[in-house]
Amino acid sequence: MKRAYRNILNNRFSTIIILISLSVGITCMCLVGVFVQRELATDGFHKYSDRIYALSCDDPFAPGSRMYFAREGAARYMQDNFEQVEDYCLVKSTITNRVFVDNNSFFDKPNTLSVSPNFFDFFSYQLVAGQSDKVLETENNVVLSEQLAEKYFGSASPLGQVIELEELMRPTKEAVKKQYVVTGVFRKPLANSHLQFDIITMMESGDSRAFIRLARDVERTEMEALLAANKEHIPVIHAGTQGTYYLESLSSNYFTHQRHSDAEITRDITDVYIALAIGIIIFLISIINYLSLLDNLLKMRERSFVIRRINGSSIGANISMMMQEVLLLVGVSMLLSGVIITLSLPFFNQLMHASISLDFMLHLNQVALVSIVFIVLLVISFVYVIISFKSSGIINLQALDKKKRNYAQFPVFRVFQIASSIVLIIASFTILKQLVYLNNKSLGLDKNVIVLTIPSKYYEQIDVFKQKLKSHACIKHVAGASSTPLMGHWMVKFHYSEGGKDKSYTPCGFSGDAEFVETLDLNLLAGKGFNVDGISNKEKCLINESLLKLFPNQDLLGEKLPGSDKEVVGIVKDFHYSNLMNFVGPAIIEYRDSHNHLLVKADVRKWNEANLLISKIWQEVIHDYPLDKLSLNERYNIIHAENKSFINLIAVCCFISIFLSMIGLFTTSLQMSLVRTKEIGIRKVNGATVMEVISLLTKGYSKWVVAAFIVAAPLGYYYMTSWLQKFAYQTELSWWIFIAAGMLAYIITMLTVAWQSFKVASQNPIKALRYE
Amino acid sequence: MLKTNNLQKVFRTEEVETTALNNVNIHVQKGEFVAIMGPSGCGKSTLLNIIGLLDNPSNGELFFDGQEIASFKERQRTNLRKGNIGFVFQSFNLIDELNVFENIEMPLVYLKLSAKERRERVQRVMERMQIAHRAKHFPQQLSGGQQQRVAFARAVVANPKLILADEPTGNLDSKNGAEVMNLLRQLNEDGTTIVMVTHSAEHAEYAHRTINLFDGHVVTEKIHKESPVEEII
Ligand SMILES: Nc1ncnc2c1ncn2[C@@H]1O[C@H](COP(=O)(O)OP(=O)(O)O)[C@@H](O)[C@H]1O
Ligand SMILES: [Mg+2]
Repeated sequence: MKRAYRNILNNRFSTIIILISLSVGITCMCLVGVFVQRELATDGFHKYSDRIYALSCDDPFAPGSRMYFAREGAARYMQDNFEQVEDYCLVKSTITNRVFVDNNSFFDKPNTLSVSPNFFDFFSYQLVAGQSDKVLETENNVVLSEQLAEKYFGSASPLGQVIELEELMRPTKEAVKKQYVVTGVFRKPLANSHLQFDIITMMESGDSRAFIRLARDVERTEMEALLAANKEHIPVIHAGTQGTYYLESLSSNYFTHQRHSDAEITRDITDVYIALAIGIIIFLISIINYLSLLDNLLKMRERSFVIRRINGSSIGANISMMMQEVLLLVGVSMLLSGVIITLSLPFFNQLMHASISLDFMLHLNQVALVSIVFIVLLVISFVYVIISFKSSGIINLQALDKKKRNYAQFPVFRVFQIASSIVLIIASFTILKQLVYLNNKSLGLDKNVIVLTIPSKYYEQIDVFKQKLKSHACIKHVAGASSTPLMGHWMVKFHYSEGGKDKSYTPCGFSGDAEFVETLDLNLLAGKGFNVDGISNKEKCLINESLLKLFPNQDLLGEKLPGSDKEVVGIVKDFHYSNLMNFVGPAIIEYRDSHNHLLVKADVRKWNEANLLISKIWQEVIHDYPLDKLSLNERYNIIHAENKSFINLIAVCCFISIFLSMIGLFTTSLQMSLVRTKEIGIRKVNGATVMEVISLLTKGYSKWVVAAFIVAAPLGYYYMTSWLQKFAYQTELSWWIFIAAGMLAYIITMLTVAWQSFKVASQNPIKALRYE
Repeated sequence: MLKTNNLQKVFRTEEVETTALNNVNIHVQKGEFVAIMGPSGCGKSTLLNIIGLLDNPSNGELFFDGQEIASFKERQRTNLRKGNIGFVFQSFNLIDELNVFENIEMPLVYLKLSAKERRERVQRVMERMQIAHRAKHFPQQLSGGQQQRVAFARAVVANPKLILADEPTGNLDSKNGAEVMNLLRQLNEDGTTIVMVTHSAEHAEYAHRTINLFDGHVVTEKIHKESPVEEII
C-alpha cells in the first residue's frame, strides 16, 4: 500500500484531476441513482401499497382521456356491492385561507385535505399523537402536522384544543369559517408520498378523489371488467353519456395524476429517465478519464513489472499490486464524492425538485446502491488491468527491449465524451431559444395586467375598489372578472341538435364585466362587444375565432350560441389562456355582474406608482387580508417554470460534461506532450517554429471534434425535435444552433489542448533533449 | 563567421547557481574545423548550444556572419537556424516514430521545400552517407553507427554553413568513430564550418585547432594545421 501511494504521488497532477473527475462522476451517478430509486418508490411505503388503486373515470369534457375523480357514492357503492373491494378512502383538497387559534389568525395557507375517517388506517402516514381509528370520528375533528401544532400551541399539548379554519369553497371562493377540535398530530416531513398535506379534516362523502383497496389476489383487470359491466349502477359525472371507472395503481399516481392542488406533488416520468440517462453519461465520461489514468499507470510500470517477473515475482503478484493501487484510487474517489454529495445535496434537490436528505442517503438501500457503483468501478478496473497485462509484454517478458512507451488515447471514447458535450450544448441552446420564444410570443392579450383576488367577504366592495382605482391617472382600465385567461377557466359543455342528431362541444369559459375586453387588450374582430354605457349586457357573450370555426356555415354574430341562450355580441381574436404546450381551443366570454377578481391595467411608465396605489387602496378597502396580487406575466412564468428548471438541469449537466471531457482531454494532451517532449525538442532544433509544433500537437484533436460532431448533430436534432413536440407553439431548430455547438466544442477542445501544447512547444529545446 | 565577446551563462536552479560559461571569447572562421575539449561539466555543451542559437547567453555578445544575435527573439533565432546550422548529438536524437527517410527530411519540411525537391535532396544525402538501403527502416532497427550517419545526413541535408557536433563519437565504437570523423573531415573539405566537442585527443587531431575549456574559461588554444581560409570578422 505504501508503494501504491508513492506511485500515485509521482504522477501527482494528472492523478489528482482525474480523481476529481471520477469523484464528480460517482457523485452524479449516486445522486441520480438514489433519486431515481426514490422517485420510483413514491408511495411504496404504505402497508397496502400494492393493493391500493385510485379511481379514474372517463373525462366527459375531453373524450378519450381520464380524470382522477369519483362521483359522490361511487366508491361506497363499490365496497357495498363487490366483495373484491375491501375498503375505500376519499381524499379531497380544500383551500384553507386562514387559521384562527385563540385570538390569533395565521395566513399560512396550509395544504388541507378532507378525507374519509379511515384515512390513517387506509394509508400508512405516521401519527405522533392520537389513535389512527379515532382521530377522524366526527366532521369537526382535525389532525395537524407536528410543525403546525408546535406553531399554534407551542409546547402545550394540542390534543383537545379548538381551532377555526376559514375555507374557500370551490368554485365560488366563498369563505366559510368552521370550528374544529384537534384530535391528532402527524409526522412531517411525510414519507415519500405524492400527497403532501399540513391539515387533515374529515368528510363522510362527496365528489372527490377516491382510493379503493382490493382484496388479496384480486387482479386489477378483473376489477376493471366488473366496473365496466356495472357502469349503469355506479354514480358518475353525467354529461350525456355514462362513463366507466378505471383503476390506477397507487405507485403510478405520482407520475400520471394531473396536479390540482398544492397538497399533491407529481412528476413527469420522462424527467426521471432524462436524469438517469444524463447520470449514466456523466459517469461514463468520468470512467473514460479514469481508465486513461489507469492505462498511464500501467504503461509507466510495464518495465518494472517485467524486471520484477525476471526476478521471480508471479503475474498474480503484479496484478494484485496494480489492484492495490486501483483500490486506493477508487477508494479515495468514493470518499471525495462522499464529500461532494454532502455539499451538493441541497443544490441537487433544488435542481431536481427533490427532497433527499443526508439521512436518507445513509439508509440501507442507498448504501447498497453506492456499493454497487464502487464494485462496478473495481470490476471495470480489474478487467482493464487483466486485458492490459495480456496485451503488454509483461506476460511473455518482452517489454525490456521496447524503449518506447505507447499511450492509449482512446479515440472512440474521447469522441463519445466530446459528442455528449455537443449534444448537451445543442440541448441547452434549443431550450434557451424556446424559452426566449415563449417569452416574446404574443399571447393576444396584455401580460402586464395585474390580477387582484378579492376575499369573498369583500365581494360587495369590488365596485368601490374599482372606482377608487379608476380615479387615478396611473390606472388605465379596471375590469371585474371571475375567470381570467392564464389564471384558470372552466369548461362548459353545450348540447344542441343539428339535423336531428345530438351534438355537443366544450369551449373554455371566461367571464367578466363590460371592461374585460379592453383591460386585457383582447382584439375584437367583429361585433360591438359588451355595452360600456350602462345598457344591460345580460345573456350576452363573446366568442373567439376558434369557436366560430366550429360552425363554419353559420353567422353566429347576433345569434344565440348553439346549445345556449346567450347572444353572441362579438368575436375576439384567439388569445392564449393556458400554457403554450396546448393549442388555443374554442372559448367563450360570458358577461357577468358579480366577480371575485379585479383586473387592473396600469400605465407601464408609472408602474411603481400604480403598484403602491393598489396596495394603499387594498389596505383601505380590505383591512384584514394581505394583498393578493399577481400579474399575468408572473402567472405566465409560473406556468412555464418547468422549462426554466429544465434548462437549469441541462445547463448544469452540460457544464459538468464539458468539464469532465476537458479534464480527460487535458490529461491526454499532457501525457502526449510529455511523451513527445524529445521529439518536439528535435523538431525545434531542426527548425520547427512554436506554431508549427502546436499545430502538430493539436492536429489529432480536431479530427475527434469533427467525428464527435458528426455523431452528435443527428442525436441532438432527434432529441430536441421530440422535446419540442411537447409544445403546441415551437421555435424552430435552427442550423446555427448546431454550428454554434460544434464551434464551441471545437474552441474549448483546442484551448484545452493548445494551452498544454504551448507550454511544451515554447520550452527551450535543450531542456527537452536533456529530459531523456 | 562566428565570434563571441565575453560570453557568460549562468544557470539558476532552486538555490544553486552554476556559472557554466564565464567570459568566453572564441572566434571561428569560415571553413574552419574547430574542436572543443575539456573535462565533463566544464561548459562545452552549453557553449555549443549558445553558438547554435538553442540557448540564450546570460551576458555577452554573439556574432554570426557579423550580425549580433544574442538578443534575437525566438522566431528570429528559429529562422536564422533553419538551413544555416546543422546539429549532431552524442545520443543521435532521432525520432523513433519516423523512419530514416522522414528523419532526414525534417529540416527540409520546415524550410517549406516541395516534396519533390525534398525527395531528391534526401536521396542524394542518403547515398552519400551510404544508408539509402535503410530508408524505410526505423531508428530502433539500426546500429549505433548507422543511426549517427542518419543524424549526420539530417544535419547536412539543408546544406548548412555551420555544423555543430556535440561528442558525435561518444556513443560509438572506435571503428564507427573513425568513420564519423572521416565524414566530418569530408564535409569540412567541402566547405562547411564545423565546431565539434570531443573527449578524444585522437579525434581532435582531425580539426584545425582545439579550444580547451576549463570551468567555463578558455584556457588554451592549440593549432594543428593552418586554417584553410583567411577571414577577419
Ligand atoms: N539546464 C541546466 N540547468 C542547470 N545547470 C545546468 C544546465 N545545463 C548545464 N548545467 C550545468 O552547467 C555546467 C556545464 O554543463 P555542460 O555544458 O553540459 O558541460 P559539458 O558538456 O562540458 O559536460 C554543469 O555544471 C552543468 O551541471
Ligand atoms: Mg556535454
